[in-house]
Amino acid sequence: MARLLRHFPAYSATAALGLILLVFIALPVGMVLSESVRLAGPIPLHDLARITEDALERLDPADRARQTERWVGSLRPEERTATVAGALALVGMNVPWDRRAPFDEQAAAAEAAVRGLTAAQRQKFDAVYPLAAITLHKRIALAFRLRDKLTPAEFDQLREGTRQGYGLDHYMAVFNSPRLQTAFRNSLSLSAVVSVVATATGFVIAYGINRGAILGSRLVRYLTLIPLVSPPVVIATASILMFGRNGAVTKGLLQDTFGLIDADQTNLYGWGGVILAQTLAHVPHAFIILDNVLSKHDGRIEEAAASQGASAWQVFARVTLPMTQPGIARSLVLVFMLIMTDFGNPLIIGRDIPVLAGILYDEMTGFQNTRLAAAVAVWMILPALLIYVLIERIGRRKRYASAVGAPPELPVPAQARFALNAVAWGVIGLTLVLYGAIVLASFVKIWRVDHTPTLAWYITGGVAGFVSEQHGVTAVWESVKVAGLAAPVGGMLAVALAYLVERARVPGGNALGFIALLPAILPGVILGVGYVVAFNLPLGIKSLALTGTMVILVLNILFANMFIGYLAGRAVLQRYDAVVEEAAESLGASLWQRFAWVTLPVMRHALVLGTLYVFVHGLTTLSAVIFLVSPAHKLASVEIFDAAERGHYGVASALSVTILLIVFAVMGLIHWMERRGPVWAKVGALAADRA
Amino acid sequence: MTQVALRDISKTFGPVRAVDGVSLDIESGEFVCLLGASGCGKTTLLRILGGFTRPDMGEVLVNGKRVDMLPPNRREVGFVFQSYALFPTKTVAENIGFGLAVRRRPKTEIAARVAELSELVRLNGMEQRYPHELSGGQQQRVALARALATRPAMLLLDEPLSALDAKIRAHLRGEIRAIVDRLGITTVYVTHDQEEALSIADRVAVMDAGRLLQIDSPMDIYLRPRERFVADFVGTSNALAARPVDGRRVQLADLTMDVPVPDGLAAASSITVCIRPENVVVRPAGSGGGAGRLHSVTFSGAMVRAVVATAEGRELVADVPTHEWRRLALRRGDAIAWTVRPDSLILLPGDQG
Repeated sequence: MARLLRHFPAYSATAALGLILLVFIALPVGMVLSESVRLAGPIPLHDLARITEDALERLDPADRARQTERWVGSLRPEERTATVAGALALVGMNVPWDRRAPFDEQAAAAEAAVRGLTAAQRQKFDAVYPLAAITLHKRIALAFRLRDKLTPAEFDQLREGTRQGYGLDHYMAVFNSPRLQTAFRNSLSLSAVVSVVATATGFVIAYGINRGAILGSRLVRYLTLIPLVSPPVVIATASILMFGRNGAVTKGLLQDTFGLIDADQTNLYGWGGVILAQTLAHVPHAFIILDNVLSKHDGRIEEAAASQGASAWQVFARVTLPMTQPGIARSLVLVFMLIMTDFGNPLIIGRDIPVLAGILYDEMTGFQNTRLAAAVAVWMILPALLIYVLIERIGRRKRYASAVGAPPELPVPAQARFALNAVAWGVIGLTLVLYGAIVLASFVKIWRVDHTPTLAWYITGGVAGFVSEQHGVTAVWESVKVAGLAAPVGGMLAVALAYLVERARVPGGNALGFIALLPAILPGVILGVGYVVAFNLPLGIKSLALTGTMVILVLNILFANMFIGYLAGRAVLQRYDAVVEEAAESLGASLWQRFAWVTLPVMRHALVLGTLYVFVHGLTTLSAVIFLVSPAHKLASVEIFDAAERGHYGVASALSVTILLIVFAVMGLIHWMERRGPVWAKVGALAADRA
Repeated sequence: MTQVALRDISKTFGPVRAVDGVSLDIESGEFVCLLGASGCGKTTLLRILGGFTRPDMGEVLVNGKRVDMLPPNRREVGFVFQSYALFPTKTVAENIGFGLAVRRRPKTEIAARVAELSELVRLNGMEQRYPHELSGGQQQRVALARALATRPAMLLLDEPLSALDAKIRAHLRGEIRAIVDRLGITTVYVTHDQEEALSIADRVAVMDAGRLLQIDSPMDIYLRPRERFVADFVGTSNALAARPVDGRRVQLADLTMDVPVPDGLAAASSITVCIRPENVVVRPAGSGGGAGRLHSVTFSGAMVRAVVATAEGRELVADVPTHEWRRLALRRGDAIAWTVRPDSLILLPGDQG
């Protein structure tokens, strides 16, 4: 009893927090999974024929023959035509006429088609014709004839030809539908290529910096991370400005100046462009993971290898590379997952390369087919999870980190040094050129057409008539409002949760921690789709609906990004002695007093980090909120995407530049307040550790 | 025969003079300890020998040839690191055989050498384990075997035992010395632990602030330190101001002792006398010698450490064997008389008391 009383505050706080996490993280994720296996609507012909056949089997043979003959004989002409089409489909042949044409045309075409069959085809056709006829037109009669022998569900199914149930049909669509097949293949290839290229590039930069081989390594570190805090599709948009059909490089330089290429033919649209844009956008993720791993290697190990007589190359190939392998694997999986689920860039420059993300976007926004979209979302993360599990099984969880982090005092050979610098500065140079293009494009009337300086894109310029009229960068303020609401709450919740799990050690705390970390493992689209499914009509009560409100945006941004604060909070608490806490308790401090006076000051850094992460991601995220915005509540990141997709680069650029400025200003402010090194590197290190 | 010669080596890191004009000759087959507090430059000096750090000035000669421009992989030295620095992705056997593997020696030769060294460091049966499956002591044995596998001309050890607990440390120290003796390899061993240095080395080189203060046999370092720092760093010592009297005697407080004073100090008006605690004799008051009072008493098994406040207001640390202390039956606060054993006085220049 006393124990219960002592722990009551912690328990009740946990219960409240647990409920919140269940509703806003676990429920949407669960709903996506359940939605993806829910089936409804007409049963496909093949399945319906099988069901009808089963039902026919239950008639006694004499009755069956008699009834079949009677049913087939009683078909009306238009029913006969439909039956021919059905029978052709059942034997696996194409229906060679337009099913929406006037009836007499169809009837003639059907007769012609039947006449045109070979003897073998004709035999098969005749065999299924009666079944096709009953399946399409006499199911109801059959159902009533069998009423006593069927369960009510079977009866309804046979009579209606529709179903409500559960099945993997939406998942199978990836194998059955050519459209999804192609998209799945494209997604896999694109993700595989980019994860390899981005990881290799990230490794080169991280290795160069950690071995002191890169000129201006501090600057390189900062610049490499810029795409991480950028609004979506900046790189795709900028790439179009530079390398598109009317790009500054492709048209302006290579075609008009040198006459080398035809920019209408040779441009970035297609595989090359998507790979380039996605690589540039995801090098930072790979870099952070590998930088984190390489900086924790004990440099003495490489020195030991050198001392054993190994050449620089041998040290690298036999010691450094194997030790970095776990980090390389994590980077490959993370980038693979990010590319699989990323919308922005492939939709802007790779429209002729369908990918799963594009299908999901179309299904959600175009057809409101949330069930198929949910299944596609699961397909988007399944390969990466599979690879991850496989790696874990094969390689255990190896980490070669050490407390002694000093890099080895071994000189990098001159050629290698040159190559490392070339790659690092090449990537950064290209990135800077692209960002420069965005800045320029935001200040001119029309890129490469009318270079009159203007502030119109910031003030009045807009895209008329899409979701609604939009002026200048007003959408940014909506974004700032939403992110600004989500950030402090998310930071506080995260730190409180970290405290309850790590320090109060409440029962069930670890399960809560796992739920809080789900958004870190699952990509934004899952949570985005989940919020639509879960909060469109919660419990069937219209007045509880959150879709179309600003609240749903705030909640989504908050819960999708609070995990960083939670991880940072736990990391801080693990480093600081629990005895201090117990001392405070022995002096009579309550749970709240201990948290507020003793622990919170220690965790301030985690709180700042968590808040900042929610804020910055709230400004730049696309994949989750794209399904949650509404005409009344738009977010800048979605506006950028819409504008860029429809070729309004001035608007997209001005919005992007404004967001970048806000992000840099906020980060600069925090950096100045904290004076503890690059804030973002810490966020990155945490993100890397969870990956 | 001199195998390794350091000539006037200096190395600075930014504003820090890590090594400051060190010259040192090491005989072939000799075991030399570099001893000093952390940051004294001993590890930097060792890393210069290993080829990891390039000196700003000076020369490193091995068998008369300059090597200070050679990278580590062309030095023919075996290096043992404080953090073991085993290859975490490789088994014990692969770690030991690494140096031979990068030299592209035949597999059979490598296997034979690995077996031989596993035997030498008593790790047989563990060849297929990974470093993280070994204890700290075992890891350091692997590191030692790896360093020896390529038959280097010189073995360099950088605080190899400091990450281990005391018992294993003492044991492994003896083993390292035995292995080195068996192989007759020239060895340089860095440590901050004076007891370790005194017990393991042929010669101990004491360093402070980048400078080499004294290099001598362990016994000489302890009994005849040439600088106050050495006297204080190696063992405990009481430093008192004294006055030389006509070259044969030393006036210390109210005691006058017959001690031959070296020529260089005889003319000085004031010198420093260092006395080891075991050479301070404590008796009941009135038995002659300096007057004092027992300030504190600490029992530590075989010895009792008594701190005496002298009449002049100085503190004097005395170690008294326990059996003798029981005879004295003194208690804290008692008035006592103290003397020192004259033949144990260490005379140093200057008034450094």
